[in-house]
Formats: sequence, C-alpha cells, structure tokens
Amino acid sequence: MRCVDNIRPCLEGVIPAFVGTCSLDGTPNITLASQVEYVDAQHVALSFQFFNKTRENILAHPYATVMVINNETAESFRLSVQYLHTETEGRLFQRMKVKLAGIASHTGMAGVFKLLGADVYRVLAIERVPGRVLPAGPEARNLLPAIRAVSERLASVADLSSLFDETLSHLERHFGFRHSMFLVLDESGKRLYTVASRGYEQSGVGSEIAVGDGIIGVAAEHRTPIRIAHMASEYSYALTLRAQALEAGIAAQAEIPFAGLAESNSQLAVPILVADRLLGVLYLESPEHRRFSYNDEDALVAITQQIGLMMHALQSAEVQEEAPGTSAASPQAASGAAVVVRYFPDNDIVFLADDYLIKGVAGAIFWKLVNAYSSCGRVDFNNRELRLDPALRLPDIDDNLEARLILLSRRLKERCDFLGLEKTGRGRFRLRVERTLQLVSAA
Amino acid sequence: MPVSAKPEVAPLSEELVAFIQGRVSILVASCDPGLLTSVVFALGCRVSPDRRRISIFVPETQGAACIADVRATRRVAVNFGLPSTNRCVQFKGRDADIEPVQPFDLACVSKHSQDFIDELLPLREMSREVLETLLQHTPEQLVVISFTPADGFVQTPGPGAGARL
Repeated sequence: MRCVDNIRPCLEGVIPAFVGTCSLDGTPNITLASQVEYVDAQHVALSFQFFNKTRENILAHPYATVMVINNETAESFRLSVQYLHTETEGRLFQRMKVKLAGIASHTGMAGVFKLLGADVYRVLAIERVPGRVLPAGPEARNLLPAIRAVSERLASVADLSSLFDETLSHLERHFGFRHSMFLVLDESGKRLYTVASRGYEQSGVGSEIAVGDGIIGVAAEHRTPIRIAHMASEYSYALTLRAQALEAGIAAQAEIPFAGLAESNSQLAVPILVADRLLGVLYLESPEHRRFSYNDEDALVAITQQIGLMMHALQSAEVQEEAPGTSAASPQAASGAAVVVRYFPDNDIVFLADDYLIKGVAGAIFWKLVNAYSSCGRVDFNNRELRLDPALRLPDIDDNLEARLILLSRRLKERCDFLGLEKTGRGRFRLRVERTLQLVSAA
Repeated sequence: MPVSAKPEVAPLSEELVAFIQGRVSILVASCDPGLLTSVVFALGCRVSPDRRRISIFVPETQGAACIADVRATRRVAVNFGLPSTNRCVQFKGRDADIEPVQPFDLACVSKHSQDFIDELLPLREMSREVLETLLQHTPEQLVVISFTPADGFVQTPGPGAGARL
C-alpha cells in the first residue's frame, strides 16, 4: 500500500506522530512531529519548526520513517518517506501555519511553535503495524450521498439569494453543519462581506472580514481551504472585533458585528473559486473540537466548485435578462412620522434615524434609490441603470451588483419594517416605502 | 553485565530516572546498516541500580525491524516525553543488546501502561479502549532493548531543544 488517502484519519494529530531519521554515521534519531499534513495520495508534509537533529539528518540523508496512529481505531502505520523540498510560502505553508497555531494553542505551546517551513516528503511505502484494532466509528460514514443531495438541490436554485440560503440550509440538513456563513468578495478584492448566515443569534449579514485576516481571510488570500481542529487566539475574530470596538467615530459605528461563535473550536473556510478567480468564502464552525474531517473538507471543496459556477451563471443570467428602461408604477402610500435617512458620502454610509444601515456600494445604491423615490416617486428600478450610473462607480466586470442588492435587501429586512427591496423579475426590483422619508446628506 | 556496560557518561540523575520511568511515552528509532530507519513504541522502562543502563520493553511483532536493526548495529535512539508538560528527553546508545524479558519486568510494563493511559486520558480526545488497544501486548512477545546512554539531549520544544543533558 502506498496511497496516503487510505490513512488520512491518522494524520489528524490527536496522537502525535513521530519521526525516525539517521545521520550518515548510522546514529538514529527520534522526535515527535507536531503536524503531518496530507498533500496528495503520494506526499505528506511535516512542519519544520526548529533547526534540530531531524532537520540536519534529512538534509544529509533524506530518508525517514514516520509513525502515525488513528485515534479511533488505534491502527498504526509506518510511512517510509523521502524528503524532497521545503516550502516557506504558498497554500500548503499557509494551511499548515494556521493549523499549527491551533495545535500550539491546544497543547500549551503557543509562542513556541512557529512554522518555518513545510517539509514535503514523498511516501515510498506504508506499512501497517501488526496488532489488534478497533472498528471504525460512525464518523467514517460515506459522504457521497450527502454531496449528491446538496449538489442536486443547488442545481435547481433560480437566483443568487436562494443559492446563498439553500447552500447553508442543506449543509445543515445533509451534513449537520449548524453554524455557517456565506461571504462574498467585494469590488476592491480586499474585503469579504457576509451575505447569509445560519445558526447565529444575530445574522451578521453585512459584516466584513479583510482578506488575509483570520481563518476566512487566509483562505481567501491564498485560495486554499483552511481547516482547524482547535482555535488559535491569533486567528480569532473575537479579538479583532474587540480591537475594532476601540475605534471611534462614524466609521466605527458603521461596523456590523461578525456573527461567529464566541467559543469556536473547529473551523473550516473554503474559498469559492471560478476559473481561479475568487468569488467568496464558505465558512463553517463548531464549538466542538475536531468537528470537521478531511472528508468533510473534500466534500465542501467539491460543493464550492459548483457554488462558484452557479454564482457565475446566475449573475450572468441577471445581466442578460434585465429589462431596459423602467416602469412607472405609482408609489405606495407612505405615511406616519418622517424617518430621517442620513447619508455620509465619504464611505457611502447610511443611517436610518440613529441606526446604522449600510455602507459602501450598497449604501450608494440605497441613497440613489431613495433620492429617485423622493424626487419623482419612482419605485421600480433595474440593474442596468445602476450599472450605467457613474456615481456608483461599479467596475466594468464582476461588479457584484446582485450580491450587493441582496445584502441591501437583507439589511433592510433586519433593520426596519417600513422599507424593503423586492425582486420583480430578473435584473429588476422594487423599492417598498411605507413611511415618509426625510433625506439628509452630510455632504 | 555485558562488556558494553562500561561507563561512557555519568550516571543518570535520580530525577531523570524517575522521569523516564514515569507516565511518559517511549518512542524508539533504529536504522539498519543501509541507513534505513524504523520506529516503534516501547511499553515501559527500567533503569539499572547504578543508573548507567536503560532497558525498554518492545513488542516483537510491532518492532521486528527495530529489533533486527539493533541486533545488527547496536545503535538505538529513545525519546521519553511527558504529554502534560511537553517535556522530552532523548537518549542514544551505541552498545544496545536485545535481551529476554524478565518475569519482574511484566509488572513494570503493566504499571507503565496504566500510568500512561491515566496521563493521556484527560489530555487527548481518545477513549481508554483505544489507548489499551494501542498498548496491547502479550508477555511472550516482549523483548528488552538495553543500552548505556552514550548521549542525552533535551527535546522539549523551545529554545533549549537539542542541548546535551
């Protein structure tokens, strides 16, 4: 047997692996390995953290034996490996760096473990160590039916909004993943914003994560899935949020809290890509340690391939089918005391009375809509006119407009009952206004 | 005592003897004359009364390659690590012998297994059953690898790792 795929549960690191090497004079050396990472069916990577004897040995004589153990069955394997090279940047390195931080945090080694490199080894042979083993538990369930069920469901969604929600609801239904988020990359390519979430008290829709920040940001920046079994403080969003809370001014008020679990232990962030272009990140978390397995990660990567294609197809469909011009429906009767809509043009920040609503592109869109409504009673709009409006500064391609409208619609639904955005067809929507609006611009 | 027991280094300190006979994991590496390595778990440790010789107990079925390597080269490396503190030490021998297990060793092996399970249970998400399976052995399978520690190193992760004991 030489296929690493068959022994991946042993690489989860519950029982630390250990590595035997030898120097050229035939002196053996043995050490624990903090991390043995699956690379592919024929390769593994070991964390290089210290310039130690193991490192000296493999640089002189690149052969080693690694013992790995399955923590549920006690089945053990000896891997004969050959050192190939060390990676100090890139996807594998980043994946291992985040994971190692979690391992360090869990084992009291925070501040001591630091990844200097990912040592990549070719697996020459895998030997099962003789001995009695226990049967595999229910975790070894076949995930293919669940992948199929989610995939079939996603293939039948008709619009982007449903795609966001159905993805999360069906991941819970078929995989049991109760806490999840769908984040979309913004126009600048530097931030991700939440368009849907599931399993949290506050939805966090509209909350933002910078690319590169935390598990989600690292998955986005390096376009690689990040899966950790233990939370590491340096990747915790709770800390980031506390730092943000210390900022002052309008910009600080215009922050929607990230919905993540306070006690998140297992996390899985999978980038959504199409043609190697990043569209967003699918994020799952759990208060349990080791909630997500290698197989879960594989399943999610497969499903996000379809999500990426679906996002692309549904956005293209909106562009193709949107109607030119506008209809002239009469506005609904707005009544009651006027609500002040305050607009800060610097970041296109919008407040409804004293409550922060939205900012950025969605804020600019909202300001345009309520102005059109106030000046001439317009309620029907289409995506094309927004795209053509130079004031909105939408990029020519990948403008993300549909996702921005979904975000705006969801924020309105969460924050008030007198304003709404409703879809009236592909690329068309209607503004619902049930209170008198008083528009105030800080410009 | 075999000829190879002549002292090459000072006797182990009593503290180190207690440590390596305690609730530690015991990992063994060997290499054959062609520099191919092998590794195995050991199931306990006994230190000679003069604290100059370490004996570890290895199941023959799981450690066949290591035992053959040690017979051929007499070289061995053994890591003792306490999971709750991450403290690790490594000893290397150049005069290792393979010896039969003594009847009194069996109690030592049994005690070590229990101690090690008690050490690991609160630390790792593993059941007692898994740990017992991992440490399973039959007395007739066990052999002793006995060596004088020619070298000893600190292996606790951190800046002091690699320092000679």
